[in-house]
Amino acid sequence: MNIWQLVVKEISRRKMNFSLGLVSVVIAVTTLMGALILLRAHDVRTEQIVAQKEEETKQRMVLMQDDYRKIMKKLGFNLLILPKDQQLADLYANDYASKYMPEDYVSALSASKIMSIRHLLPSLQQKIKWPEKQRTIILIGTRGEVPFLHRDPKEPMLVAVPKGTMVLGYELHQSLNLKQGDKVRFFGQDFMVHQCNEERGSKDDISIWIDLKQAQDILNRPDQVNAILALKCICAGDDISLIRKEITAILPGTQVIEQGTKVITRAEARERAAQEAEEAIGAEIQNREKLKKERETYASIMVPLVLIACGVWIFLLFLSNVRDRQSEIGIFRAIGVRASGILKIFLLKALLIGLIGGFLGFIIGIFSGIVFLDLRLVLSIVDFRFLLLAIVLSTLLSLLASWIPALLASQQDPAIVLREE
Amino acid sequence: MFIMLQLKNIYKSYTKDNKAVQVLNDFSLSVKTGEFIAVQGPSGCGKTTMLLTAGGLMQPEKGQVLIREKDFYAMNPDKRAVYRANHVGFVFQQYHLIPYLTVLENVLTLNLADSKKITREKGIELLEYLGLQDRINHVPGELSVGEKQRTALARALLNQPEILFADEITGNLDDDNTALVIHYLQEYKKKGGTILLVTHDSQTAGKADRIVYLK
Repeated sequence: MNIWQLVVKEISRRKMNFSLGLVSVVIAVTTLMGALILLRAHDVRTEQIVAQKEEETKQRMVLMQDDYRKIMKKLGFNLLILPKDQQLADLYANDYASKYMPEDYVSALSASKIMSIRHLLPSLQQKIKWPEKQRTIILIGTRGEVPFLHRDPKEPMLVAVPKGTMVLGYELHQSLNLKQGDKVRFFGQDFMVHQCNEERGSKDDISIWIDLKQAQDILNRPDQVNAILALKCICAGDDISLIRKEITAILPGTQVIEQGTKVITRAEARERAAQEAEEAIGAEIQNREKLKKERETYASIMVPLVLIACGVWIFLLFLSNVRDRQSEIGIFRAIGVRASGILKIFLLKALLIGLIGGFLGFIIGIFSGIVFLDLRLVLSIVDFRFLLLAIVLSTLLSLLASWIPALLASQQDPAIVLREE
Repeated sequence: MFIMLQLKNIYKSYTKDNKAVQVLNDFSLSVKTGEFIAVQGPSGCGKTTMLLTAGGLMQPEKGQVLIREKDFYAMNPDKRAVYRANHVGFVFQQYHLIPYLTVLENVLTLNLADSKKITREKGIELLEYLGLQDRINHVPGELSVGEKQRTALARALLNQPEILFADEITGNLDDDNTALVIHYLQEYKKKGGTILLVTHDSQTAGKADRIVYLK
């Protein structure tokens, strides 16, 4: 007869006491396993959802780009026709062309049978000082839209600035306190303010638009322009190089560039879409985080409560077991079993409850996870560490809860029982 | 013969119904090796208390218990337990058998203590000697009172103790079983064992070398 045999025999004799202890440990471990699996499953699900959202966003971005391409195709390109010798670096640095070309180029285009260009807007631009006001301005001479000779006349996109009048940029009319109808001196000539533009947040705010001929006189560039804006240019296949070829075939002394606005618009739209997608993913992550916190809070209250309740239950069961075995303890002490031997008898029983309960709780916890979640998800989450945690926790719970009753048993005075009987 | 056990001026009281009851008052007793002493006295006179005190299970308030000239209560509880496991046997009127263990297992519970290890064969041999060969695998619930008491006696005698403390061990037995138990006690004595027996039964006490009366 050894101590293990005694413990096993006692368990088989008092099955109910052992079973109740076991159930308690199983409940505690199942609760913990359930909470852990749920929280871990939440993380895995979050990762899956975010990955799925990111994939959807990618696909949406591809579709969006295609949509933009189609929309842009319908809108057409905005092209800038410049003198061939114009350095683009200078153009971008100054915001206007520094080289000039004959105004006749516009007439050549309008007289041609080119079909890819819809609207033509010649202009002469130059940064100069307004002598009467001592202000640096950008003077833009325009004659409005030039109609194509072989096509039916259409409503022009931009109308000309009447001779002797000017259109003022926002900053100029604000700072100079000018309004529509005011008369101003400009390079020794009298002009009437024809229109005051709204704020645009660009060089337009310090620009003055006047009649092209008057601008050519002021800038001493008779019959010259430095840019022709070609709007809503459309061609088959949405290929800008085809339009370029057509224009340069008619006007060999020119080069054609796409106006940045459209490119920027497309990029901005893409960026905006990406930003929105990112925000949507961020919001999803935040929601999942919030949900996780709620679940963690619930688990952090629920699991300790269950552990405490189960611990108290085991404590009471062992207390009752000690009381039932007083005579047994008395005789063990009488035949020479040490106090530590008595302690061992109870703690080994607690150890068995902990080990078996931990293993059963682990199995039931996984099974519950499978029932409420998904088999593959649960199996991907649970590993050896869960089993280890379940066994260690259940053993500690059982040993701690039974420690005081076991200690009371070991300290019990055998004489009291033996004398009373 | 030398002195196996000596109780010197023992004082012991306990509380009953919030009143202190003095059960042993300057009690002294010497037991020689191989001696069979019966202790008699009216109920509540302290016979069992004296027995538990002599066996190292109940520390007296005053006085000394010397076993083989060693102060029993100068030892710490663990040392006393080891001493009991190797040199002392106890038998009680209520047998105190472990209900879920068989007769043989009950006897072998001595192996749970720090005693020299006792083999299963030795246990069976002793049970056969006590006429329990057919009851080896029975649990106490399946035994007669005589068989229970013989099982308790087997457990007490298995480590071949120098001294056996027996408390009313024939109190529940019929005449035949009483005779049988007394027979085994005498056999034990013949082998050099010392017996301190508490009993109400004058016939049983009459078998002792000496009778001590407690008032």
